Amino acid sequence: MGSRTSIPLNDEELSSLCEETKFSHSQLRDLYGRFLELSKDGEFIKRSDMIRLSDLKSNPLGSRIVDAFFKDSCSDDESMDFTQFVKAAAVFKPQRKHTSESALNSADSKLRFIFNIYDLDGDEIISQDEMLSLLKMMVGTSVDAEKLSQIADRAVLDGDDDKDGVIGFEDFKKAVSHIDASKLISIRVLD
Amino acid sequence: FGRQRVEIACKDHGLQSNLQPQQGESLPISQVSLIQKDSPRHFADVFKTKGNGEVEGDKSNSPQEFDLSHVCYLCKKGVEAIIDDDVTKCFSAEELGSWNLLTRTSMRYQYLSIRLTVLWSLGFLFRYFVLLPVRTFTLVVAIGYMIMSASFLGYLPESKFKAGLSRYCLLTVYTLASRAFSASLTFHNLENRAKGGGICVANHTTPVDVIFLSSDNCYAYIGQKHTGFVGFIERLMSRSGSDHIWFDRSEMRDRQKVTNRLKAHVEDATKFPMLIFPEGTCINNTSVMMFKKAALKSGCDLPVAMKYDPRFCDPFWNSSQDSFVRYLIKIMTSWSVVCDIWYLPPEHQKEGKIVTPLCLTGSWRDGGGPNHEVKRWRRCSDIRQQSKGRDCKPRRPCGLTMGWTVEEDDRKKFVSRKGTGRIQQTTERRLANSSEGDVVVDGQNSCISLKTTTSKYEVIGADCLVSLVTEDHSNVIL
Repeated sequence: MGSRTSIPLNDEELSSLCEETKFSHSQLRDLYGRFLELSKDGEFIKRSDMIRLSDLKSNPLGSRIVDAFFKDSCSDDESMDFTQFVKAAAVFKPQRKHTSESALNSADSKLRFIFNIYDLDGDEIISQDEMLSLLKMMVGTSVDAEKLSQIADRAVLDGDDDKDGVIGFEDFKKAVSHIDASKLISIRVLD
Repeated sequence: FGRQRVEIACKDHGLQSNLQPQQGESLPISQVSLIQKDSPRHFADVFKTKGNGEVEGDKSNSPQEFDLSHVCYLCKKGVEAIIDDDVTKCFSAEELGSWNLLTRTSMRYQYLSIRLTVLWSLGFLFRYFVLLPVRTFTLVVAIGYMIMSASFLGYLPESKFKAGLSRYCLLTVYTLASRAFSASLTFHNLENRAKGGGICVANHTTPVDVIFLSSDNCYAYIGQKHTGFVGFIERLMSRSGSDHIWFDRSEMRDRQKVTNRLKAHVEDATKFPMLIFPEGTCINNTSVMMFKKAALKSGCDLPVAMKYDPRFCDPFWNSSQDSFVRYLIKIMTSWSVVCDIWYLPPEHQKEGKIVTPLCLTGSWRDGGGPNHEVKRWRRCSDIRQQSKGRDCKPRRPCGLTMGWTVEEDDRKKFVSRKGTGRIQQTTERRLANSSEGDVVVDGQNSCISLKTTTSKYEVIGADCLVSLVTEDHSNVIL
């Protein structure tokens, strides 16, 4: 509309944010525009604001995704401000060849996001129950429970590399190493 | 994609794949789109067959693989929904359901099998070393023919014979040029074809769709004056007997001048219809953006809808990603360009009444054409909804979600989402933030204020902003 609300950060904070997330200034402005749309008061986004999105409602993993979005980025799990929003979005920036391991959009952080979707209680391991509940969310009621639990058990067995009965983050990374997960977990518009 | 992989895996191990066609697949093609890739039903299919086709101790077929790639996909879609909005969705290239052997359309290229790689390499060699030279040659011939015919026609005196001959030459030139892309064009509803005068509005996906449209009917173009080769072509076109409007940069700024010239051309029924792409920029072949208002001010509008088949090429020009030459090479090394073009019935502006607006929505995804009865304007998000096969109920009046500025160079604004308006807080605040010429809508008050004047206008009917009529019915603004 011609109006560009300016980001409520001073120059220092803005440049350190750019440094950390590797977004350009105009990308940050676009993200701020999106942030304003999502939040009701312009200061914070609450969990309920995000879940309202219709595309997320039709996504079988919608609520889990919102949880994962909120989890790492904010302390109180209920609302996030703009900086946290940007840092969470930065995880999905496509990787360049020279992305360092510690960058926000490294393969590790991307996989960690996916891991958080599986890991419901945040205890850093995916147990059979968690796998089963995720499968249930994805499939609904179309597949009967027994078959589903078979598949879940099987999946945990296959993925469990260090044979401790559950899938930890290292096992998870090994299990996905054969697909280019970091390319899958990138959003082009953030490039 | 998951289904194909299951079938490949089952075949590799000599198993029967027990993929029963689900209920969804026996539906006619217009309803298949409802079974979306990320629906629970899709996953249920995958898991059902996994249960049947189990192979012992074979890690590569384990459900884990399906799990993770699907979770990644869903996750990405979910975060896209959070971060993206409707406008940017129009600007990333379309993703295909199954691979068409062009690397550029495969987002997740990975080594699948030796057979596929061999096929792809054969395709690559064929496309780059057989198709590309032939097409370049055809293009050169077309340009040469245009030069020759234009120069020749320039010398002829104005007469009916000249007009007829120039029409013939133009059609030939453009047909030749579209053959340079191996374009396979199907024109529907030829009875609605434009005859003379008036404005044709079309959706814009590729910069060369002008060529495709012109191979069937002659149009007048409007554009900026360039220098160099493009400028030469422009002058050539003007010479060959059709009146085009080429603007200087300085003239572009004077909006009234532009409008006057346009009006003068359009009202003259002996001239070719003016071809306009009101979206302002290239859209990615999946949706249609709201039209900009400058396009729709004049009397008669003839909508033309174009839809490309994405399996043969990806016609979308993402100008931030590719330069024009690179884009041309991409198009000329695709399999071909297959396009369906529908001529929609003309829209007339009624005196003093609300004009029913144009909308080129229709069942894009369903493979059918746009509906021929004129639909009402939809919001951009509604257009996308409709294109997914879901029906949108018309809402109460004044549901406008996009305001748009009057600047011509709005392309940048759309991309960076500056040019779109949102229903925000109060009209006053938005008025304060808008620039001159903006139309600001307040959802509660059902009134529109134009910044440039102080009168208020009434929105009559319509679920989205269509047009405004001034109180004395002297001016219609869309």
